[in-house]
Amino acid sequence: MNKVECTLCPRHCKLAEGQRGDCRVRTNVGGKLFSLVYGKPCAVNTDPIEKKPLYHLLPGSSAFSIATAGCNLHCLYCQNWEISQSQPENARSTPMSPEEVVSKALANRCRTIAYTYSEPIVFYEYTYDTSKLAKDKGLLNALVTAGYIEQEPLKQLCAVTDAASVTIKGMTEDFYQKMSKGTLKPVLDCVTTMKKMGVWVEIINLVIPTWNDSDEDILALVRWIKNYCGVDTPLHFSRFWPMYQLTNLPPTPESTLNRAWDIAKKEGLRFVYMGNLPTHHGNNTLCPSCGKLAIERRGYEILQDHAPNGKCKYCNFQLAGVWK
Amino acid sequence: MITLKTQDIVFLSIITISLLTMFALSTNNVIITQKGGSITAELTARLTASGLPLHPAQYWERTNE
Repeated sequence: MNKVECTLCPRHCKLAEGQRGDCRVRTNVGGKLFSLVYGKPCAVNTDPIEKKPLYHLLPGSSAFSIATAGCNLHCLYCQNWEISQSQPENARSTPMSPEEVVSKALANRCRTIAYTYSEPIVFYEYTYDTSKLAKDKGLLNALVTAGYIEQEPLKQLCAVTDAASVTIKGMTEDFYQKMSKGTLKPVLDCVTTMKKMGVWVEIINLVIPTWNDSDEDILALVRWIKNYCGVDTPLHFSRFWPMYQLTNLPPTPESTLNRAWDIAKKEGLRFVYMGNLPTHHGNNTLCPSCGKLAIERRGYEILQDHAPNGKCKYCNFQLAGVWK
Repeated sequence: MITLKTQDIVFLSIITISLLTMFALSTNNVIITQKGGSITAELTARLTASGLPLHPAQYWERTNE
């Protein structure tokens, strides 16, 4: 008895007294559910917004970025597994209240607070409280997430969220089960709900050799985005680098990413980008109307901006995104 | 006078290790979660004692299972 069921994410962990959820950071104490990571970020940095990656959210600005330990997915390729897969007591953290996060963001001249690195869904209460305060102070809030969340908490969070970069890891349930011990449908539902609620969304897809790099895989993703999010939704194909439990695979060949880029453009997506290939032309934004270079990037750096406030200076076309 | 042979010592060692393991598992209150995670009540108690704050979480309900 005294069991509780966490209804934050689709796992619905049923926890006996003293037990923690699959995310490792929510626990049953005395028949009530508590967060173990509220106000305890283990990573705090000022990053370029392009690192999230959010290419259509105040380009060239800074994002005050925080993360706590824990994640509700367990991806074999995780780039931040030291914190995402750790117990909170094993991740060195600094006490930082939501008020402190907001004041540090302002002091560091950041326009956005990014909830990132691990998984903001598992530090939900901290994310929500900080976002509410940030909004009151005129800051934007951006989630960098895998989108594995139930609808009710998501809707509450969307009310204080301005933008999100959501990773759609693959387009089959089998892929999600094997790669991340999760399921696909809640992620797709998360993206469509975010769009409906007016959150600016950019989609990330890590292209992993032999796992999700076939034409069919890429086409399925691109068509879903086109049908459910619209052609103005940016898609970032990201280069896989051998990490964590997938060190047996090679990095994604550039030719594979070029093929993915071609497929997405051919299907009509307007903004297709390349991640982890800093000098590739796929980092640039082209104006969908006149085809000219609107924003030139090298990695996280803006080299040329010909679309101040998102307006192409050659043809006055307004690019989709959050520009002020 | 009892003289222990090598095989007796090996046998007794195995029995002792098995008993100690069973004792450790029973006192450590290991719970294997439905989702395959493993966690101990003791660990959470230590965490609470270590000063990591417990903040009331949203989105949960009691269950009779």
